[in-house]
Amino acid sequence: MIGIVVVAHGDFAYSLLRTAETIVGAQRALAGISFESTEGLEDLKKKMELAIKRVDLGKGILVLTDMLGGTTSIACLSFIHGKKDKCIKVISGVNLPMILEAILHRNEYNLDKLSNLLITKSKKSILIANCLSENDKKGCI
Amino acid sequence: MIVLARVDDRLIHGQVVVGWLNAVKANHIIVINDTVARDKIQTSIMKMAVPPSIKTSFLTIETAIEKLNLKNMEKNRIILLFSNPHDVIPIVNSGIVIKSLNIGGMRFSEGRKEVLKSIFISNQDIEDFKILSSRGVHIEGKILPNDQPVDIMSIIG
Repeated sequence: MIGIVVVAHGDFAYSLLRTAETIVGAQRALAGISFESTEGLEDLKKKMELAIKRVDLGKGILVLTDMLGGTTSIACLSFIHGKKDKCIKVISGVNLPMILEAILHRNEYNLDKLSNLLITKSKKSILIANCLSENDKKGCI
Repeated sequence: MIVLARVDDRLIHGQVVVGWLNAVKANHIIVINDTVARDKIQTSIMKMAVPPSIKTSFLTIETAIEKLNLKNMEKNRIILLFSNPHDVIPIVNSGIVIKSLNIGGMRFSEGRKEVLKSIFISNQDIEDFKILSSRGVHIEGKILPNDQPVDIMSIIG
């Protein structure tokens, strides 16, 4: 099973995981990391190290982070920088469909395949929802 | 043109890349910091972490003085980021006009006093603010674009 760590600003990671677990049930090898504005990059990297150890079951780690440009993504990228083993993948722009997809398929695919699947599927989940109605195609792409 | 000059010890992060970038409609972020500019690993990580639509540069103080004086700088809307007020002095001394210096992030460390919520300054910072202020730079405490601006000089006297 691929371990999952969510790194996000404020309480977002906890809320996201709690919400995901109400949908797909309690999970193991799943950790959330909060980041408060009073904390520094080094604090965040330490928390990541601990979380990754906790969820590592030997099949690779998926790190999902909230926003490019934020300290969260800088911490994730500097965490993996220079690491020789390629068993950690960082994906930005985490949302509920993405985390659900990750949880549901992490036993089935390897880390590369799961990462690609998440990108494709979660991008498809973002759309102007009105456009799903046959009667309201105006302004849709 | 320089649309924002900010002291923020975290340099590039969410408040800057999302909040300020949109508020001042900037398209180029220039980090002016000797240590960071010489650290290839740190600069490459920060570049990767910033959305590709935003141009980012990491310059030493010396290079910044050269580049910012070039004419073609006028067409971009630039955010200048410094990790401390001391680094701003040589820039201002070189003739680059910074009317207002935004103080947005100076975190606590030993010997620093809180002058504003989340803004901690040392005696050295006070001296630097005084120099900058005497050069006509307004020192404005404002973490987020919608925050009420605070005149730092009136607080530190």
